[in-house]
Amino acid sequence: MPLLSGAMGARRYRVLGAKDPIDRDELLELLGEHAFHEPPSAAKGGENHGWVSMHNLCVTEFVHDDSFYHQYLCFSLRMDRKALPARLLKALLELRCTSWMEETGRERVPAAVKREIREQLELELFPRQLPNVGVHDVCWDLNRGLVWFFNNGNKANEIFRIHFARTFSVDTQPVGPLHLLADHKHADAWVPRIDAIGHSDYRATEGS
Amino acid sequence: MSDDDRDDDEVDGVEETFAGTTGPADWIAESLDLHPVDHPASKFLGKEFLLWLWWSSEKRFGSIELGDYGQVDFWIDDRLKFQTVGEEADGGRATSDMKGGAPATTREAKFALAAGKIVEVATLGFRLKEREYSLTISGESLELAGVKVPGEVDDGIDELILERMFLLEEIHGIVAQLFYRFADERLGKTWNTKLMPEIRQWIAEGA
Repeated sequence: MPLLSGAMGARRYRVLGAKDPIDRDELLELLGEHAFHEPPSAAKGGENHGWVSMHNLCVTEFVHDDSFYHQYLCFSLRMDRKALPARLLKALLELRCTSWMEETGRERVPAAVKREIREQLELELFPRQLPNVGVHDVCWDLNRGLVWFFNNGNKANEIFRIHFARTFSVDTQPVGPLHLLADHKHADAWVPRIDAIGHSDYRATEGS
Repeated sequence: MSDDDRDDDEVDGVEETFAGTTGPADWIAESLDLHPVDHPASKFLGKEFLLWLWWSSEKRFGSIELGDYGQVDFWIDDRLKFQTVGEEADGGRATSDMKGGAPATTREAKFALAAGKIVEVATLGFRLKEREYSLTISGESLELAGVKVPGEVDDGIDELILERMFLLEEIHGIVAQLFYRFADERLGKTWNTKLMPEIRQWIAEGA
């Protein structure tokens, strides 16, 4: 649910501990230092993530004109996940094990040999496998100290918060119902009452 | 200040900036830290808000004056998701997800409430002047998903981002103001004596 087109979905966070005033050049440098990088070897699976330009997921250089829009700093989190199809891997592994048993005349494959065969298969298959690429926009309102992450999934949000914290040395705090109440001018009266109430039972009672 | 001393305009007042917030927010920060679901009230307050929106949309004609925003119309759109709560949910929470059409007008929806289910997720429509929004609100976190905004900019990346962020913040602001209205009633003195019975009666009549 991206920022630039279609329906949007986002979680909002307060940014806690940001420098005041914010140095925009430094923010771009930090983005570059924690940008997305291709993994060193194509023959391995796993997850890989980092910042990319909001306008092109293959661009990892951050310049003012493509990043700052008034008070907003906009960029994206790219999350790659490379995995082999489990059923295909299992089927190929079975065939290789059968071949090994025929060649050696043995009735079963020792665990260590099976592990080697599997690793060899992965070395052959991973370079032919493209990663599953996810890109989720980020919009940091520098004036209000709020950052919007355009994804509603828990895992993506966890990765975002960890990477955002590591990049900018700040904390993020979700803006939920109680945070909203805490920001209101009646918070002093409301907050103690929140502790005292429980869930209302809306079912009809006798005589109601 | 007692509940009765406040007027609606005061309820709409909110500190706009989050930067450097102190006071009650510190309590929240300590209590919730990085996980807002830690406080018991966060489990139900937002969900009761969704029910309140539904009830308000029917019994108060879904139109409300919201401070700086002016007149805002709202209605339950094409999705209501219910979930069981409390002891009945032991062994797994049962959900029913009503999608398409106008689920809020069905007896099944009121039956779900009468049976003690709570509104977990709702899709709502909002109209502010000529601008119409559609979005799905999660009760627990109040986060918005599937937000359709009435954008007009066709080209120009600067204009596009500014417009879409403006509209996104506007609808967030509207939802927040409605939540404050709800909170003022929910945490007020007349909740148990006046409003709860009204909502119960509304549920019973529709089921």
